[in-house]
Amino acid sequence: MTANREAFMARVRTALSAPTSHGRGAIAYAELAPLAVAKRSDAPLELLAENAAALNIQLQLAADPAAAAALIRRIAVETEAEWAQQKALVRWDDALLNELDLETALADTGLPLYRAPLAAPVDTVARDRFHRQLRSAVIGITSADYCVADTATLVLRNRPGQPGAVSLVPSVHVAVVRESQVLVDFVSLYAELAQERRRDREALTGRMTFISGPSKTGDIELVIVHGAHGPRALHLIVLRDPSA
Amino acid sequence: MTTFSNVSLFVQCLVDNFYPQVGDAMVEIFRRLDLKVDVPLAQTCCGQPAFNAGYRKTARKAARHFIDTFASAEVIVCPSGSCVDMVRHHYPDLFADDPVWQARATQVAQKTFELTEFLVDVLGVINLEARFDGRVTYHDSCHLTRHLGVARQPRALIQAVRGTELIEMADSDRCCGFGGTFAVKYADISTGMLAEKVANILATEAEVVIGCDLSCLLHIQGMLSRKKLPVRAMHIAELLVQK
Amino acid sequence: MSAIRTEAYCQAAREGMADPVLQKALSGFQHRVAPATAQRYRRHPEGPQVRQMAHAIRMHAVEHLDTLLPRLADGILARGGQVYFAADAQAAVAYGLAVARRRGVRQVVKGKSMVTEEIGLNEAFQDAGIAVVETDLGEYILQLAGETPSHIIAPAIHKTRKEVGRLFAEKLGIPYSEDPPTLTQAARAALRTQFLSADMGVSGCNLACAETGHITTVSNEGNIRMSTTLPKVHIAFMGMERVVARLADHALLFRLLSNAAAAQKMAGYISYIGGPRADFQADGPEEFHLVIVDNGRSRILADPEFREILCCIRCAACLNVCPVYGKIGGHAYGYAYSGPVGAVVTALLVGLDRAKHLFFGETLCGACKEACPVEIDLPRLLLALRHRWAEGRADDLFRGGGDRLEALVMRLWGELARRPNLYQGARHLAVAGQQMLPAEEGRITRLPPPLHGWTQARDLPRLARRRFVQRWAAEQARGEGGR
Ligand code: SF4
Repeated sequence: MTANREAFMARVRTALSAPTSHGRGAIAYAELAPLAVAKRSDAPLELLAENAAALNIQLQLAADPAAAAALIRRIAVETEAEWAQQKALVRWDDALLNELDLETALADTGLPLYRAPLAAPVDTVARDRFHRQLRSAVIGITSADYCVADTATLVLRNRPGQPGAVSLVPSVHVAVVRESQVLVDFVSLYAELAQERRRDREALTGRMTFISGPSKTGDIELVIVHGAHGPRALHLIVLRDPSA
Repeated sequence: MTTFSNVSLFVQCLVDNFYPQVGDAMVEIFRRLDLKVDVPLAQTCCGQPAFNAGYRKTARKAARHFIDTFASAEVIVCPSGSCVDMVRHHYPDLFADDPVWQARATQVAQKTFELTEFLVDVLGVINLEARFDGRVTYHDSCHLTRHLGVARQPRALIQAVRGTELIEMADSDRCCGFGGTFAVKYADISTGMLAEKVANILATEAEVVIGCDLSCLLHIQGMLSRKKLPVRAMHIAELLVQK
Repeated sequence: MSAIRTEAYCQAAREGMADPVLQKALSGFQHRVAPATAQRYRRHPEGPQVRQMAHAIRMHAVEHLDTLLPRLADGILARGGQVYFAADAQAAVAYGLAVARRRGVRQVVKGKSMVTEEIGLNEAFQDAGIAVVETDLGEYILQLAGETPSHIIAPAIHKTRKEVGRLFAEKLGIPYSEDPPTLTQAARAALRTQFLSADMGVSGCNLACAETGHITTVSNEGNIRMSTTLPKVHIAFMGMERVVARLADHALLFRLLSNAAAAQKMAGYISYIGGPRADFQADGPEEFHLVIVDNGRSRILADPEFREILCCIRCAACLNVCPVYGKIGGHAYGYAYSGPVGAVVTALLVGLDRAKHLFFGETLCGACKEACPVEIDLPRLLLALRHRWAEGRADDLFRGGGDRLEALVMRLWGELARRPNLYQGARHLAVAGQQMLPAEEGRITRLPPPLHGWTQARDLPRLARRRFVQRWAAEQARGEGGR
């Protein structure tokens, strides 16, 4: 296989030995960095609200963790089951969601609330159990590392207790972010990611996902339909900063 | 206003061979502006048809002839966006491996202008005191609008004509389907595109469709006549000398 | 390799134009998406140079593939992924099959990917007894119908809801409906079973990142995430040019890609995948393979004139504005790639002679260049293809057969163009000759072959008796003209 790679790369190198005669544009790559301008916004939450609405994201603000938990409880009660008889929820096991104490908030509803496995390594038994729970869940609850206001984009990374599938397989995705995690636009997002990578080269992890809105398709006569394969609805809860 | 003692016309093959009245109109326009006109008699074709079909050797021959013919001109004005595109953008490339000719080509390229850009951008003229009573619509030819960036100038000139109402058609800058030999070799596709253009023209209920490129106008008129439709195609130079 | 039907361009184009449903769909689609895309382009804080910036990013990547590809590969290897460098379609397919056999794969779920169409992966898998399900809704519809895509991003734009309704009633056994939400729900349910039971997921790669060692996938439906998350094995195929140098390059390209492909501000899902699941992960595939495909690209890279086409990010914006594509539809192009990008890429991949109608059957109107998010000069590339076809040197890899008769005519014409007297003489003959052509009200109504195409739906004015230049000369002689 290394022989393969060597021969392949040799061809590429030979090909590149001729300089480009056409197609060099007006701007050189080296000049790009200063041209990348980030948007400014005094009210990123308003920007987020506008873009979330355009994407059919249900955005709600919560003053404190209890309020966020109450919102999730409401969503759980109102959402209809899709694939299984019984409505179940599955959530990430992380600091922010633990703060919400959803177990208590949902106790009176009698709905099962599963937690993604946290202990590493995840063995086959734990994985199989998680997959069964995932399939039966109607709601997947995650946090996010960032939320980009300009595009209403959530940034999720796979870490222990945070499998990406929770934001994908259940019928409805609920994401909770802190207000301080809201960034203005993509340029600022990539600047943050670059910062993180300077501290930890593997900061992106092996799997990073950007989510902008619920799953959608326009493949039948361009009519937009939500819930093509992934979640048919996306609820975004922003936990206000205590100072606000 | 920039002044020139002499304006050399490159009338372009279609005007030269099919529509000499457009050449007359250009002469008239410059006469009204008190500019001396010169028409080099040796002019033939800029070489675009050969170039577009892939025959660069032939195109180079035509280009050399053009460059020789117009080398001493002060400024060259042409009633066709695509020919100007050819001279301005492709001539220098055609001689990429020949520095002497490339320099000559670049020199000619820099002093070649399409009629409406010359009038509006170079001379600063918009109102030519023309009068034409009627509804017209304007077709943006591809090379003129996209490669030369000329779209505002012809509209300004049209709007300055007394009695003329300009009604914009849908997709005015969508290709009419001419494309040189394309119109013959891929006649079905070409005609399909033209039918769309003609429908957009008809929808404006204009009596005249104005353009800056005879190739498109010849093409559009071809279907208008064939279908005996009550619209005619007219080059902008002809409009600008109506009284 | 998948079937090449580029020679049938003219026939297939006629069929496309004769299909009223397709005509309506194409026109509606282009008019909806293209203006919205143009509007999006204008709204970036970087201003009007945004597409030039994107061009610089892509050109830089293409010119540094010698360092970027190894970097990408090493990043993935370090996370336990496997990388295979495939010289051609056969090698790429064989590698995929070998992985599938080793893992005893019976069923594959697949996200939309142009390069797998190019290399004919589905056919090879199916021949080997492995079921392949296309999971993009549009592709799924086509697979059920036994058809091929007609658009890079919206593969089934040529299908009406009624057709889809009948198809689903027959193939999925649901009651007939022509309601897109109902039909989508039916596909969602059918495909969910597939996602949960498939042993292998296949995806393409949108724009890999060399700096971090990740591929990326982009979708709106979530099917690619499903295909790359749930099955035990994920194998991704990428054309070797689909990489950028730095992570920050994505900040611009993903915005423009979303604008260009579907007039969106941002695509629904973008995933960075850098390897198989880590041991702390409860989801994700056990094995991750990346197949980097050359299949003729290094030849394109070696050509300084054509290299620029490797900047393409396969967004289909050029299709959405192309007036020729808008008439004939994607099937006419006879290969995985259609529209202006297809006219260039297909010719370079399958050979100029086989694909000559693709690059001659365009008007050079330039709309594609304006729509391209990375500002590829497609008209220049079409002209270069025509040139190489007509006059290519004997040692040229991208040489065409040319046309002797046409070349002769052109040569003669070139002589006329530089000899005004001969030009004038030839014109005399033409003026005399045109009298023999059928005419009506002074306009020619029928031209002889090979020019007869013109008069099939158009008249032609007669040549004026005297050229403008002759008239001018005469006036000058009489002392009337000029001043
Ligand atoms: S050529 Fe440009 S517009 Fe066309 S698919 Fe490629 S990137 Fe998109």
